[in-house]
Amino acid sequence: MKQTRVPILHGDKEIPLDNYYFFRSCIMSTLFPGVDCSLRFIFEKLGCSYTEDPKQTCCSGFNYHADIIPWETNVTIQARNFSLIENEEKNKNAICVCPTSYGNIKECQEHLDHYPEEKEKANKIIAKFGKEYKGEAKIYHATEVIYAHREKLKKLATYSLDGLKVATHHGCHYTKIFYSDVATGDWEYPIVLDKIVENFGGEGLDYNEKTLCCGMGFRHTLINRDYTRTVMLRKLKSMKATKPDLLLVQCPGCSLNLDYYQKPLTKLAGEEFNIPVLNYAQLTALVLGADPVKVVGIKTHNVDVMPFIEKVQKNKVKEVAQVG
Amino acid sequence: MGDKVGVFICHCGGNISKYINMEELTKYALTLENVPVAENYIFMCSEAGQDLIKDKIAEYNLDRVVVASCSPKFHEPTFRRTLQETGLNPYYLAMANIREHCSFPHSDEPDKALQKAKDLVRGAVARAKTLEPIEKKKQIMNKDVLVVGAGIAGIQASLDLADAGFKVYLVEKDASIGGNMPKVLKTFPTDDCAMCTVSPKMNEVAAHKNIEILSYAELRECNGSMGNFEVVVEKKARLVDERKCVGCGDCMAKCPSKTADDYNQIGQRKAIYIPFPNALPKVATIDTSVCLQITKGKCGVCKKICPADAVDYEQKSQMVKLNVGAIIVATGYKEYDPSIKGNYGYGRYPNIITQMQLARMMDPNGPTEGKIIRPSDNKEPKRIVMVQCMGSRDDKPTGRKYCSRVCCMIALKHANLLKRDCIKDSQIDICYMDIRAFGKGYEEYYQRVQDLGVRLTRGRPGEIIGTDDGSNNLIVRVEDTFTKEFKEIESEMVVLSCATDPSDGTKEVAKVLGIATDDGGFIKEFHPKLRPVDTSVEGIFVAGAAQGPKDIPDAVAQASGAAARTMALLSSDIAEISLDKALVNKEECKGCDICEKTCPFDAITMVDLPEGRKAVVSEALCHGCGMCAANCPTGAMQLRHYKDNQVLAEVGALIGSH
Amino acid sequence: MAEIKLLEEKVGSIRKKETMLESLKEILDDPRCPDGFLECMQCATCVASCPAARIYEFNPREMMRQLYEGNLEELLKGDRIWECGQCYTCMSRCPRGNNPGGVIMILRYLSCWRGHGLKKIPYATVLMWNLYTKGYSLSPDVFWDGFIDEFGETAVNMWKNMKEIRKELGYLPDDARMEPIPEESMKELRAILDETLYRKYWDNFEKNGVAMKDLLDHLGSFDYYKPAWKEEK
Repeated sequence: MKQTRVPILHGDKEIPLDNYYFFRSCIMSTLFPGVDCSLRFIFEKLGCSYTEDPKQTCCSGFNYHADIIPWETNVTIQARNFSLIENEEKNKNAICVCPTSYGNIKECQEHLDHYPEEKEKANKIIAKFGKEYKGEAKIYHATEVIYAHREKLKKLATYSLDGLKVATHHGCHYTKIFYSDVATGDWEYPIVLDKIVENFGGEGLDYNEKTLCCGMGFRHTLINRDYTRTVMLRKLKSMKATKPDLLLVQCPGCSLNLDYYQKPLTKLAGEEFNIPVLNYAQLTALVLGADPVKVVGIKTHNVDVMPFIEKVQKNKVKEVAQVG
Repeated sequence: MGDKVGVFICHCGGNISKYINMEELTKYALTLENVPVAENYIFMCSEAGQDLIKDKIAEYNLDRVVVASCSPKFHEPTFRRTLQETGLNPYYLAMANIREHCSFPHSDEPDKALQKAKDLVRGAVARAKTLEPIEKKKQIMNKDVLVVGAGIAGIQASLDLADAGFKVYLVEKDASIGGNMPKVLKTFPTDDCAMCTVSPKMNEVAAHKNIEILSYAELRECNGSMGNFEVVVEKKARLVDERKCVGCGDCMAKCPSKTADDYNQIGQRKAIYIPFPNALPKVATIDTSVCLQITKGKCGVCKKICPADAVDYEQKSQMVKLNVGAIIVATGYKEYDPSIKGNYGYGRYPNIITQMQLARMMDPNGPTEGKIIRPSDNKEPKRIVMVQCMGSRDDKPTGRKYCSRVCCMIALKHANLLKRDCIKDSQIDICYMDIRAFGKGYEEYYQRVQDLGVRLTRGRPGEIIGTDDGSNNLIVRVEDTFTKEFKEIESEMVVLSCATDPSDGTKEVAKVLGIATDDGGFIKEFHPKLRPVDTSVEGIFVAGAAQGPKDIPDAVAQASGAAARTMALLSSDIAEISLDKALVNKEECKGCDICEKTCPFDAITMVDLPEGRKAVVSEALCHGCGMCAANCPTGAMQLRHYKDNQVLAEVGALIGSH
Repeated sequence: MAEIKLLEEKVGSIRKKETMLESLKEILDDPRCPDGFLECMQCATCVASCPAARIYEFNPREMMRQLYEGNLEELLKGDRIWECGQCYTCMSRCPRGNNPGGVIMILRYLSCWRGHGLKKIPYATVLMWNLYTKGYSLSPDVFWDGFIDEFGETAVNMWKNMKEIRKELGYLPDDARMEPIPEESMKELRAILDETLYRKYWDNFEKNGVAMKDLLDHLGSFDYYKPAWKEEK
């Protein structure tokens, strides 16, 4: 199988260049379906084989961190999902679009692999419908995959991000739970997204609160928004000081917060932000020439992304008809 | 084949006998075949215990001895000596470790511990019967000493040895001797001038008739063993003739090429440089990585300007061979690189510096001529925060697990100097977890610093970030754990008290010499309490921060200790080397060269003999580790004292029921 | 002499009787509890890194200490554990390999099992049921009134048209994906939920006298909640 090596804290890890199991995220598909569409668009452009398995259920990571799904249940759900991945003929590399999926299913896998008796317990339950977790599933985050394909993607690019300044925000559940596995090596100053931006000619911005959480807090964004607003304001203020054209994120939860809260925060704090928010896959698809509405799905954004897209579309590097 | 094995069981003053029934074990030993006598005693290693062994050897005419006691690491040499004194070959001893391997880990299960002790004794008896005599080789002891590293520890050890009449070769990797001490400006707890303390010592070394300095030189190879080491030192090419250069510095003034100043760690220096005014030897050195003449082939300014005609672009490095009887490793430490911990912002924000950089700023002869300035705007900072345990006491993969011992005092010293001399109206905050002021006079120093109004906040900062207002100020986020207050201390400059890392030279020299290092990469001492300056290889000693983080008084004390140990070793004229090393059975050797590849000490060479290609072991280089024997596919390679039949006899007895 | 007697009583009440490890058993036995928990050296890296500690009197360091002292029940009954934002910055920085955020999550579940915390998770009424019936934590139809309102007119209008927008992208209007999870797989998922602690966690609400329906008030008017499991079967 084709793969490439990407640096992590100590040494490097292998990122497969093909054969993906598209591990969908409920929040992403609910709030930003355009990210799914963009990822499909990218996979097709790259000629990568991937599986979209209707049988895959939610990873339940949101519920787990929102304190409503016991650990035992969480682990067993994952054992079932892993068995689906293992049963794939070739597309065995799970690609999570959401950092919480990534963190959660990786934590479950570690648990199942570390405690044989827990694995047995989970397997006993899923054996009732003929499934078994063997311990072979491999888990990656989609940003790592895009980073791994960067050279080919650059060649495929229709537009360049030349002259555009992009602030990035990495998902805490990607960088902080499995901190030794963060692609490009540093969890305290992650730059996978910046590398993606720079690959297309843009500039990744350094702002003071770069590693601060978006304030999601799971239960907080549902019912205790004072927390979310307060953290978010700090984050956005610091970001705004560097005058970004775009905020690039990695996570549906962060996208929800950083995009949706800008307007209420303007009302509350009297400060205008108006920073368009896109996900890594959306930006990549956009640069590859995808349709902003039909593929990138910008209609699901609260802050208007169109001004940014217009800036990008001025930087045409290749004459390619837009693909719908 | 031994047929009369005596078994001697030690109580270890209760460490063993509290958990294992000694009488039962002794009775059991007597049931073993060829064991005419078994005894137990409270301290077998004591003189009375050893006499007991000697008496029984004579009484029963024993030809092999088993001692069941602590780890052979502690008392194997003791009991070997006991055997030798009765005329038996010292290698007729087998030890059963019933302390570390039995009574300690199984202290809660006395029955099972007894059973395991019986098994271990049975195994040792089986092994003892198969043991063969091993002789010692005698060699004339070479009395010269190699000291690697000319920091304060290496200098002290060299002077002690040279004063006692030993010839010393002092090797230093850098352009000047002196190490880190000249950089630190003042030393705690007396605030003495560091340069004034170390500089006379440097001159003494240079003038001493028994000391030969090889500066700008690195240890490349080491062969041989205690009493007779053959080492190769590379004298790197300075591209300046040391004998001609007068150290006038004209070349530095005119040199057009600059690079980061690795001595001061702030600012820049020229491509041709003398690292500091008191450097010794005070000669210029050309940095070939940035010199325009070397990299681009055009410039030649220094050569033109040199009044002594000392510059020589064609100079080549030289390999110097030395024969010495003992080696002292004093390769020192370096400051931990804090940029790998992104949350503390070093490298991301210009106004975050390290304690060593601050020390260089304070030095009137340093890069800022003693002025304390912020790198971003050259202004004097009034609010300074120091962050302790930067990289120390941290089990994250980017941290160091150990306490670096000196950083608390360094921070207090610098806070003191800042408040008293440099910026009297400054506000200094120190964020710390524990202030470890353990040395003589240190706690008193700590009190004096508190009196100056330095604010100590007990809490480890989580992150340091810049302000958004363009002032290049910094915010240190920390909780005051005494008041539970979440503080954001705004400061104009942050100083990180970085961990102590082993120097690059320490790691390289450990590899060349084949001596063991600990988890942190420092040289491992043979025994932390009883042999603190010995390394894993006989005849090689360690001194100073190469062994672990330590302050100047401790480094100097340890250096004198290492010198004394070296003198004790070299006081005899004959070196006895025991031959418990690898041995090749030429008939069985197929010349596959697996052993050559596995040997960590390059002790095996493949030689084409008339009967074929065979492995040959150098007795001088072999450490007796057994890697080759374990990997040999034909069994031709055997480690004496751990031959296959000896090991298998023990294993067979251990697993077989008896 | 009365005062002396009173003071003596106070001294008696602060005397610790239980051993440390006994009182921590429930936490330490959890496989997710990190080894570093007992090694906490109270350095406060966690607090200094914590977005919640900056806002609230939330203090993971102190909570680790309280646990260490055996004051588990106090923590479970209190509000503090619910202030954590689950960002795990504390874990990624703890110099002793502890995971305060993870330990706090364990405490939250314990608090719910004991009944104390159930009112802190009113959304359980919606999200737990959603997972049971659809196989997702979230899907477009679960957002209650007031969830979107705050985000302004654009967001409200966007959500009014969300079904259309989703269709345009090929997605189902009320399901998270382009096609629903097949019934076969849903049966498997429900079997897992029924046979693991999920069902007990649900039943736990009623057992502790917290009616799921009442919890809906916390979310504003909302009619998503379906009847209890028993009736469904």
